[in-house]
Amino acid sequence: MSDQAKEILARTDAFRPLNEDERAAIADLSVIHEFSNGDRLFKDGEPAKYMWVISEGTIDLRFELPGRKTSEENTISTLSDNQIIGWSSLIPPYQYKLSAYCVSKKCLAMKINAEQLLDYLRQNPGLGYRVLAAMIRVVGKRFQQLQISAGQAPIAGAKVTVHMGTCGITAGARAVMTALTEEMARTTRQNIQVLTGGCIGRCPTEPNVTVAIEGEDPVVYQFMDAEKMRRVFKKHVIWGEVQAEFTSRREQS
Amino acid sequence: MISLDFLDNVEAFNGLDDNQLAVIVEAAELMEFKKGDRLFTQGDDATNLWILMDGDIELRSETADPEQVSFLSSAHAFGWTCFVPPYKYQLSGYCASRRSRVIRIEKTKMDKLFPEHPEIGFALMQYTLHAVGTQFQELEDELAQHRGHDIMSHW
Repeated sequence: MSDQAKEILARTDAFRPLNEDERAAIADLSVIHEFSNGDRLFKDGEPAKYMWVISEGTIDLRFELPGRKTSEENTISTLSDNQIIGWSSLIPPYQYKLSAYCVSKKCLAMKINAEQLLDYLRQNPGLGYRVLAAMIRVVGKRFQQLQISAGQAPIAGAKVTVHMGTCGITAGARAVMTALTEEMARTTRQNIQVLTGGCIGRCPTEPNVTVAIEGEDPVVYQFMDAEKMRRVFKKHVIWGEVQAEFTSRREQS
Repeated sequence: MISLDFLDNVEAFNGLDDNQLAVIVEAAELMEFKKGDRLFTQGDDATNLWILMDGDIELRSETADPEQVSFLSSAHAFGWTCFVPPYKYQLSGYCASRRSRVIRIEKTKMDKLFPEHPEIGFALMQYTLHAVGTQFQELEDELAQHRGHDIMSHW
């Protein structure tokens, strides 16, 4: 098996405790694949035969909706270099729960035959213990991160302030407010307040919008328009994901 | 007394032979609780793995509203978060019957016996990966349902 596969394993947390020979044995159960943007590595509901290690690129784990193409909106987690996906292949009922899509220009991922891997670990229980313990640490941390992001988003209250001073209105704040009002009409969430505010002294970056999620520092979005407002509403207000590309540098530092 | 026959029925020790189960007996401690006694508290460092022998144990969230309670059955292992970051109990454990007998195994003792008896470590890690993985998948399912609903309502 290629040195490349062993190198990929050496960089991956779950396989880092292995020595050179052990990595070589697991590399023998593996195949490296290259994917382009939009390619699907596996689909939710399929038998989970392989565990995957991402060597290069970014992969979204997404849920599918019948009759619709997936998009960024369907993403539950985004993972990149040296992370493992498809660990459903190691636990009953051995079925992928989400689909995996390459979302960078190119993705390089190594798939490991899960049944053979489990057999090998069972035959070498010392190694099996170390690999599974390391994998539990990886999965546990990711679970914790997902719990935090899920907990923040649907429960925490939010205040969205569109700054509608003269400078803001001149720059297009009314269109931003209209988009926000339309999004509010569609959501079932009760704990979101929409407010209008005055100028905050940042006239050159108007229209400005401040999103304040309960328990977090407020984020000021700048150069807003209707489309950006809809995205900020869906991503940040509803799911707690700050849209950094629309924020001012001051809030990022 | 903890019998090998009882441990043989514990899913977390699936596949272990009598010699390996005897090692676990050596490391384990049988404890008795009465109704209302608390075994551990949500948020505390998870330092033990527990196995219910007889009686009733309820796992309760101290923070969820409405209150969430689950009851365990005999031979059920709980407290497996002692192997999972951030190594805290996610729920509190209470004795819910007049009397319950529970096996307690300190994590520090298990950590010491795993290198010498890797089969035990492997069996427990497989059980723990299954347990945390299943909870992880349930959360993913829940998130997918919420987001799916949100997407469809915006469509």
